[in-house]
Amino acid sequence: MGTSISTIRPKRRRLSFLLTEGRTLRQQEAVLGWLLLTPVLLIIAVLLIWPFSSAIWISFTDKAVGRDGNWVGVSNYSHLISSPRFRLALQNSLTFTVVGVFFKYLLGMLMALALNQAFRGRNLMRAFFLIPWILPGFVAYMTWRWLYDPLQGMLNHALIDLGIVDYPFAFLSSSDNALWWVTLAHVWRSFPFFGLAFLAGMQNIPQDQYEAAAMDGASVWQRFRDITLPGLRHVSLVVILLGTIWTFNAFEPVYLLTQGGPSDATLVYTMLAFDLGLVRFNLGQASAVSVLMLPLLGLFIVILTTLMNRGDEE
Amino acid sequence: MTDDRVRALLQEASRLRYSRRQLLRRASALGIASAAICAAPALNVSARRGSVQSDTLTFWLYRSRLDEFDETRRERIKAWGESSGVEVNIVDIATSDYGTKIPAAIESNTLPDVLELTEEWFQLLLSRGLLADLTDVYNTVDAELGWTPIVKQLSVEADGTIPRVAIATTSTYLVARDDILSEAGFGPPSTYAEMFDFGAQAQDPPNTFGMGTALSNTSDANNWIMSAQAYGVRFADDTGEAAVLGDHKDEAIDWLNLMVDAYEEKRVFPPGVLTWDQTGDNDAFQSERTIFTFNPLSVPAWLKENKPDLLEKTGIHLLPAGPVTSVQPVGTVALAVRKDSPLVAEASDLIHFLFDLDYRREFFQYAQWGPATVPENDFPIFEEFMPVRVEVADAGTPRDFPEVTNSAFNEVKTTFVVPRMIQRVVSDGMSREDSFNEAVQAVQDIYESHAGA
Repeated sequence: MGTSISTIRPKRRRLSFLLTEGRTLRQQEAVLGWLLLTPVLLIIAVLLIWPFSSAIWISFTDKAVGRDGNWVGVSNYSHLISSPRFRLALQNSLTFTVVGVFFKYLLGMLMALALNQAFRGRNLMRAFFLIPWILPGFVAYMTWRWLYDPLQGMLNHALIDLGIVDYPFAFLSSSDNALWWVTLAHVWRSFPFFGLAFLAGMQNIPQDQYEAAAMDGASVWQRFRDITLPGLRHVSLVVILLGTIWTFNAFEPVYLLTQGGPSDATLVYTMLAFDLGLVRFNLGQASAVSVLMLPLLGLFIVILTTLMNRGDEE
Repeated sequence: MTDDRVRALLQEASRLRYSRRQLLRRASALGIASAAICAAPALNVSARRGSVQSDTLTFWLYRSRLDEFDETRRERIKAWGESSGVEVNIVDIATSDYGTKIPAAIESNTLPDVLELTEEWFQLLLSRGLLADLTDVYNTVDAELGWTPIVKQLSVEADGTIPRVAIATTSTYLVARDDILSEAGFGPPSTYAEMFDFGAQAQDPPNTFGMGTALSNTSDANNWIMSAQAYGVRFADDTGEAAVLGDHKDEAIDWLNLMVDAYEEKRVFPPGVLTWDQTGDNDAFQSERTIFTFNPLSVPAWLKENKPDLLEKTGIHLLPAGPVTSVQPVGTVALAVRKDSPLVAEASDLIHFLFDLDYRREFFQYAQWGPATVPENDFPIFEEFMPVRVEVADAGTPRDFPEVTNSAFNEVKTTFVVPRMIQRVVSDGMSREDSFNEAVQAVQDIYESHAGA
C-alpha cells in the first residue's frame, strides 16, 4: 500500500505545480483558462488553420493534381488578375451576391410581415414557407433544372400551352439571361432563412410601440418604417452578413444548373476554382482564386460589424 | 424518511461535491483527452502520406444506365472474392462523377485498387505514374483467348508497358430515328452537312429537333471533335507534341460555319443544349424529342430494356464524313490497377477471372460495348443486336486519330476547347475568327504546358 501511495503522489504534485506553485491567483486562472481552451485550439488547428494555411501555401506553387508543386511566387495571382475569365467570375459573383441578397431580404421581409399577422393556419403557413430552405440543395436545384428544361420542363409546357410562346424558351442557355435564372432559383431556396430571422426579430419589438403609433395616427407604412425596420436593424445586419457570405460562396446552384455555362455566362468564382482545380487539375491557381477572394469578404465583414457596433453604441 | 437516512444522504452528497477548481481541473483533463482522441486520426492520416493500405480490394465500377448489366458485373466480382477469400468492396460510380472522384482520390491517396476507366481518366493516371504494369495478365488472356487487333494496338504504350486490360471496345455512332427520316424521304446521312440538312427538314419543333448532342461543357460535347477532324482540323502535329491548330484556320472556319448555321439558321439543336449535362443527349433521344444523336450505344441498350418499340424505329449508323476525311474512332473500356496497391497480384487474378468465356457471353448480353477478344466476335448477341459493334471493332480508326493520344490532347478534351469554340459564337456573339483565335491560344497553352512533362 505504502508503495502505491508514494507512486501516486509525485503525479499529483506535478499537476498541482502546473496550476498553483509559484503563481498568483490570476496566473493560475490564466493557466487553467489555456488548459480549458486547448481542446478547441487543437481542433481549430487541425481542422481550420492547417488546411487554410496549406491552401495559401499551394497558391504560391504550381501544384497540379497528383504532382508536387514548385514555388512560383505570385505568378498564379498575376496570371489570374490579368485573366478575363477571373474578372468575369468576380463580376458574376458580385452580381449574383448583390442581386441575390437584395431579393432574399425583400422576400424574407414580406414573408415575415405576412406570417407575423394573426390568421387561421398561421403555424401551417410558417412551416410551409420553410420548405425551400429545408430541402437539400441538390433536390431543390435539380427541381429547378427540371422546371427550366426546354424539352421536359413544366414552365415551357405551360408557356406553350398558354400560347405565350410557340418555341421553347431556353432559360439557362442564353448568355444574357442565364445568371438571372440561376439567381432566381437561389433566392427561392434561401429567402426563408431571412424570413425566419425577421420573424424572430419581430417578436422582440414591443407591441405597445405599435399601439401608441396607431393611436397617434401613424399609417401602416409609417409604423413599418419607424418601428419595424429600426427594431430589426441588428437582425438585418446579421442576416445580410451571413447571407452575403453564403451567397458569395455558393457553388451548388451554378454547378447543378449550368456548370458555369453557357460559355462562361454564369461562371462565379467558386465555379472557376472548381474548373481550375478539378477540370484543369491546376490546384495552385484554384487555391489562388479562393485566397484572392478573402480580402473582399473580409472587408465586407469589417464594414458590417462596424455598422453593428455603431448601432449598439447609439 | 428517517433522520439517519437523511444524514447518510447528506454525507454521500458532501463526499461527491467538488470544489470549483477540482471541477475545472477534471474538465480540462477531459477536454485535453478528447482533443487528443479527435486529433489522433487526423495526425495518423497525415503521418502516413502513402496510399490507403488495406486487405480489402476496392473496385470502382462504372454505373451504367443498365441495371442488369451492372448487377451481372457486380455478381462476377463478388464471386471472385468468395472463391479467392479476398474481401471486395465494389463502389458504383456514375460516369459523370468520375471527373471529381478521380482527382480527389489522387490528391487524398485514396485511389481504389482496381478501377474501370475510359481514355481520359486512364491518361490522367498514366501520366502521373499511378498505374501498375499488367503485362502478365494481358499476356495470359492473349494466350488463352487472343486479343482483337485493335485492342492489341491500343493496349501497349509507347514504352512497351501495358498498364490496362481492355474489357471491351467502344466507339461513337450516329443513332437516328430512321422512321422519321424515311417519312421525310431520307436515308442515313453520309456527310455532316447532310445530317444537319436532313435533321432540319425532318424535324417538327417544338416536338422534335434535328440534332440532340450537347454543345455544353460536358464530355458528350467532345463528340464534335470528330466532325472538326472530318473537316481537316488538326490540333497537334503527327508527333503529338506541338500544337498546330493555328495552321488550320480555313478548315476550322468552314467547320464553325457548318455548326453555327445548324444552330442559328437551321435551328436543329434543341434549346437548352448549351447547358445540357451528361444525361441530356440520352434523355432527349429516349423521350423521342430528337432525330439524331452521337452515342456509344448506351441509348439502344437502354431502349432494348425499356422501350423496345422505339428501338425498332432507331438506326445505328457509322459517323458521317466531312469534306476532308471521316473518322470512326475505336477506344477501349479498360481495367487498371493502382501501382502501389498491396493487392496487385490479387487484382491481376481478378482481372483474369473476368475473362471466362461463359461470363463474357453473359456480359455482352447486356453490354453496349463491342468485343475485345477474338472468340467474342462469334457470340450470337453480336449477330442479333447491334452487329455494327463487331464491324467497327474490326475496321475503325484508333481513338483520337489522326491526333496522337496523350495527356495534352486529353486536356484539350477535358477543358472542352471544341464545344467552347461553338459556344463563344452562338452564345456570346463572338466572331468566328475571334473564337478560333481563342481556341488556338488555349491549345497552344495546353501543349506547351505538357512539353517535357
